[in-house]
Amino acid sequence: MVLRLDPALAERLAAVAEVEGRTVTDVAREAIAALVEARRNDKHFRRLLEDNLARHRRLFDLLGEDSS
Amino acid sequence: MIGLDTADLMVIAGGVMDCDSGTALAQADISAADDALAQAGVAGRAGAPGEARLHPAEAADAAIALTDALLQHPPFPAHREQIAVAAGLQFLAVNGWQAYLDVPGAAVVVIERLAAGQLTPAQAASWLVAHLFPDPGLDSGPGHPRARPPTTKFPVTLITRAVRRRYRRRRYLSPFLISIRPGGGSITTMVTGPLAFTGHASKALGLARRESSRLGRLRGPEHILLGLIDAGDGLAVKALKRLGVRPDAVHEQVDQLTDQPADYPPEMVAPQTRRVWHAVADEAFARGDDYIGTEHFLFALFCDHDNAAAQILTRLGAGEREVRAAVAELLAETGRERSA
Repeated sequence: MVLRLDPALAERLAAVAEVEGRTVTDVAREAIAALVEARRNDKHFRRLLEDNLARHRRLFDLLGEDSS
Repeated sequence: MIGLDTADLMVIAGGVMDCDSGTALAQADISAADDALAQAGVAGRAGAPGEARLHPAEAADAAIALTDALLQHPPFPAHREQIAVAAGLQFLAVNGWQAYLDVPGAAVVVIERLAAGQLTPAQAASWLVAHLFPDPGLDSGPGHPRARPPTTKFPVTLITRAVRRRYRRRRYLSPFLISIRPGGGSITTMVTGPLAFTGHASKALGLARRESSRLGRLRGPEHILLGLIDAGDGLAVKALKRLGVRPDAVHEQVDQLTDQPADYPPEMVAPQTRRVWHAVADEAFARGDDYIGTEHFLFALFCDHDNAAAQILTRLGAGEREVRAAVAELLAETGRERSA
């Protein structure tokens, strides 16, 4: 996984990984997973997403057919 | 402006792929997501407190930039176009805009041409801005920009105003249908001026009028279909022949329609027909065509799958997908790939 991080953050991430005996990739992925979980609980964001997916169902079906 | 971040993309992908966000994350190419967000310039979530809603042109530009970046750097290659579009729509939504892409077939063409580099992001944004409307529920969520009261204006009024504003600023405009003059042989748009009908399309429209008069019914999409069939030699009829659709079978099915009382004045147009007219201009613009041909009418008949013409064609084995593929084949064979 390649991520663009500012040097200070990259250094902290490497330090956490070293202390915990894990790879930087694992630590980064876990951090993103925590953020994803928090975002998944954002009801407003989810409502907008569900509305969009429902309103454009046919468009997504057509795009899905094209990529399959 | 409220941007999106990698976590947002994972949630969006989960919704598109109908899976848990964690599952989406496990499949994601995070570096591609990172590259796409950086390229689009919409990374980061927070909007400034009290920040006004983006101007529709700015919203369209940013949404297309995000869609384009995700097409170039797909975090989920197997769902590249779906997730790119979903992210663009979600970006618009969190910034208080809704996109009404009521001609999905034309929207697909725009996305495909954008992905293939046949359409610039500016051109795609110009198309998109004509389909944007303020979200009436804007004030319902936390962290959103300045709320506005729900609008009660008819959407066309809103589009007209938006287009006029851009027109005054001498910016490139999206095609917007302001008048339809089949008798004069063109569709007039504020953007492109008249889009001339091809000879076959003009002939088909005349025949459609004649058929609706003969049957004494509202002029519906099924009469446009009859006109296309009877015009004889247009691209539409060639595509239908290739798909094995017999003209007499179409006539037979239209004659059997009994859902309308007869004896309407021949000039009366069914509401579904107005949708077809709007879709015709969308189809032509999506393909970058500067004319209206019979193929645009044939595609536009599928703007509404409930109309009789779309149902008849589908029953006869010429559904939207088959029709688009047949026309694309014919255009490729005649060296008009760009229009396909």
